[in-house]
Amino acid sequence: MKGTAINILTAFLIAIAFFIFLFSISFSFLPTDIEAEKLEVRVDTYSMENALRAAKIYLDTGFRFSAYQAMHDTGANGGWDAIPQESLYASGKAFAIWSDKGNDTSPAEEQLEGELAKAMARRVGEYRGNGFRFLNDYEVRLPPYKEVRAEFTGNDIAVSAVAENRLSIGKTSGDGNRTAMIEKSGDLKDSFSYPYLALFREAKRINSESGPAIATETQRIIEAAGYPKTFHGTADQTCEEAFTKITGRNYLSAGQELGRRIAESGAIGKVPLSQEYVTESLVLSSEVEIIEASSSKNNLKNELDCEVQYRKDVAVMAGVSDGDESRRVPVYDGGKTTFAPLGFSFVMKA
Amino acid sequence: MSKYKGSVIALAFLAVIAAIILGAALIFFYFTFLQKLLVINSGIDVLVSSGDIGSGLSSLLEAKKGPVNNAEIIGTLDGKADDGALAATLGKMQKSLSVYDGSGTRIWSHGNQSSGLYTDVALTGGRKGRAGLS
Repeated sequence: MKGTAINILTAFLIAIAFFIFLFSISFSFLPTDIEAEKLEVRVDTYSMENALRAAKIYLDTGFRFSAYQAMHDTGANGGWDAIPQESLYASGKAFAIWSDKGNDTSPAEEQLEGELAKAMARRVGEYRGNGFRFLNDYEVRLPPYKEVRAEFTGNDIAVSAVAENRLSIGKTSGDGNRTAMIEKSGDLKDSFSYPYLALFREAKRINSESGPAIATETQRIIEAAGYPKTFHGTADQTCEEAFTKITGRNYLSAGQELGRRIAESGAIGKVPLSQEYVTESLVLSSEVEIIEASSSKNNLKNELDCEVQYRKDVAVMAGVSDGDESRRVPVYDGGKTTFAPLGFSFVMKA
Repeated sequence: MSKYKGSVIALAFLAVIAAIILGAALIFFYFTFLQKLLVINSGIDVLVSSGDIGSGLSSLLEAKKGPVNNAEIIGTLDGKADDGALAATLGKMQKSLSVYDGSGTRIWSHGNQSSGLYTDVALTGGRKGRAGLS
C-alpha cells in the first residue's frame, strides 16, 4: 500500500514537471508586448501599403471605365458632353443637331477632345467620391483631379489626369503617440487603340453630304405640291377659307399632306453607306405647319391678300457605329453593364 | 509491471491535459496573429489586376488561372452575361460580390456576405461596388 502511494506521488510529480515544461514551451510561442506591437505595426504597414496599391488599381480601373463611358456617351450626344441648347433636338431622346437647313453645326475635332475630357473628369470625380476603403478598416484618401486630357493620334487614344495631391493613408497608434502615413502618386495615365476619330470623321462626312441634301429635297417636295405662298380671296373670307377654296384643303390638312409626302420620300431618310462602319438613319419628324404670315383686306374693292409660311419640322437621325464585335467596350447604359459598340448619333434638320 | 501501472495512467492523463493546454496556446497564437496575416494576403489576392478589361466571359474563365480583375467580374456579372458560369467561377475563387448604388444601398450581391471583409471596386459608369471574402 505504501509502495503504491509512493508510486502515485512520483507519477504525479513527474506529470506536474512535464506539464510545467509544456506550458513554458507554449508561452515561448507567444510574443512579448514589444514583439506584439512590432507585429501590429508590421501588419498595419503591410495593410496600408496594400491599401494604397489597391486604391491605385481601383482608380486605374475607374479611369479606363471613365474613358469608355465618356466615348460612349459623348458619341451618343453627337460629340458633346452636354448638348448645347442651340444644338438640342429632343424627340423622346436628346440628339445633337449637326445640320440645320443645310448648314454644318457639328463640333470640330478639337472640340471633341475637350468634350471627352470633360465627360471623363466628371466620371473620375464619381469614382473618387467618398474615398476608397480596403478590408473595411483602411481608408485611402483619393485626390481631386485637374487637367484631365484626351488626345487622338490616328487610332490611338491617350488619356491622362493629373492629381492635385497624392493618394494617402494614415493610421494613429492606440495610445495616440505615433501616426504612420504612406503616400503614393495618384496621377492617371492610359492609352488604347480604338478608331474613335475615324468614326467621328466618317459621321461628319455623312453629315456634310446628307445634311444639305435633306434640306434641298424637303424644299423641293413642298414646292412640287403646288400650294401657294401668297394668294387672294374676297373680303368676306378668312385667309384659311380662301386657301381652302383654292387648294381644296385647309391649313391642317395641307400641312399633313406635305408631311406625308416628305415621310414617304425615300431620299429623305437615306444616308450614304460607309465602307468600314455601320450606318443607320431614321426620320424622326416630317411635320409641316402652315401659318399665316400676313393678311390685308380691302372692303371697298372686296379683296383679301394673304401670305403663308410653311414651317418645317423635318429631322433625320443618323448614326455611324463600329460593327467590329471584338472592339466592344464595357459601359453602363443606365440599367446594366453591357459590352457596346462605340459610334456617333446626330440629327440633320431640313 | 503492475507496480508502475498507476503511475503510467496518471502520467498519460496529465500529458493529455498538458497537450490540450499547449494546443490551446498555439491556437490562440494562430488566431491572434497568423490568421490576420492570412486574411490580409487573401484580401490582396482579390484585388490583383490582370491587364485589359472587356474581353468577356471566356477570357475571364481563362484568366482564373492567374489573377483576375475583380472590377471586370462585377461588371460582367452586373450585365448578367452568363450568371451560371460566372457564379461557379466566383465560387471557386471564394469571393463574394456586392453592388451598391450611390446612396450606399446594396442593389445586387453574389455569395455569402457573412465574412464582413470587403474592399471597394470600380464599376462601369462611375459606380462603386464592394468585393468581399466569402
